[in-house]
Amino acid sequence: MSFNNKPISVLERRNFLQTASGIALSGTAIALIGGCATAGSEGSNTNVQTEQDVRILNTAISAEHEAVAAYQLGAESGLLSAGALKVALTFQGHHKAHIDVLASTVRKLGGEAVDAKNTYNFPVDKLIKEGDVLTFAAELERGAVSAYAGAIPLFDNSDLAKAAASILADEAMHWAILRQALGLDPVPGAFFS
Amino acid sequence: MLDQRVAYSGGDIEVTAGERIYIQCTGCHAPAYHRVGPKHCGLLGRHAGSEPEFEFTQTMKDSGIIWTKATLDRFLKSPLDMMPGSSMGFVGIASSRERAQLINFLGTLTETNPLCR
Repeated sequence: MSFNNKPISVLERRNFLQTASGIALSGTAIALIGGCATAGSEGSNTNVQTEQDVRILNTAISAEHEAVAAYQLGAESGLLSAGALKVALTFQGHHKAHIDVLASTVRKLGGEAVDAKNTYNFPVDKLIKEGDVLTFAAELERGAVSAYAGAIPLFDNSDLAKAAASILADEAMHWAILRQALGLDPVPGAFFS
Repeated sequence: MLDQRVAYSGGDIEVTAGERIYIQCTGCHAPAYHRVGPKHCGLLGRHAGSEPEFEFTQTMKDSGIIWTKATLDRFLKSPLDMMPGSSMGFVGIASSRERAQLINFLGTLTETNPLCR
């Protein structure tokens, strides 16, 4: 594992991926998210604000469904080494967990959670080697961090904002680990923009 | 990928800056194809909510908006203030300069742009 800008070997990357695959959402995070699922039902929101929160949550769910499908594509590509595959499936599991709690929250707010699409537009023709798959996944994770960063200020309910921040942190870790596996600086700056 | 986009801008510093700001959009959008949000190629001049094969909210479809630099500037400043009921869960870009840079980049997303092929 390397936290500097020096290139890392394939073996080091493989070991890093195998180590990274042990990361999972902490019980604290799950409790936090699960705990906020009832927040919207306590009458503090107006209907309009709650409807807005539901729309934002559903947009997040749509993005999470896309991530699950993307990792499935990567897992079935035949391009991933055993270590990378394990990480991909672990991260996919995180995104599924995000969907579960977000969908549960939407339902408790009185909304209907969006389902996954039947098909997704992915740049399949550009996925030729493992690095392409990891780059594709890293771009999705980076985009997800941006999406949550842009959505969190919109939540009327601070518990929802806190839960979304927890998910953002998880996706930022995915992004950093994928960058590390690609031989890139895992944390390219003090601020995310 | 980003490096290729920056290179494509041909050194136009405003567009280059706009491309970097566009990364904020990539959680939901892509230039050439629909994702969680609609594609952006050909956005300028398009009627809001009119792109085929994308399921827009009724709010967007009924907005009557045509995407120009001016309407995009208003929308990107605070999407949900301009269009309550939109599913665009993004707080907006406060800086008028950054909005202009982003809009300049969006304006390059035409059929001649490799990102749109």
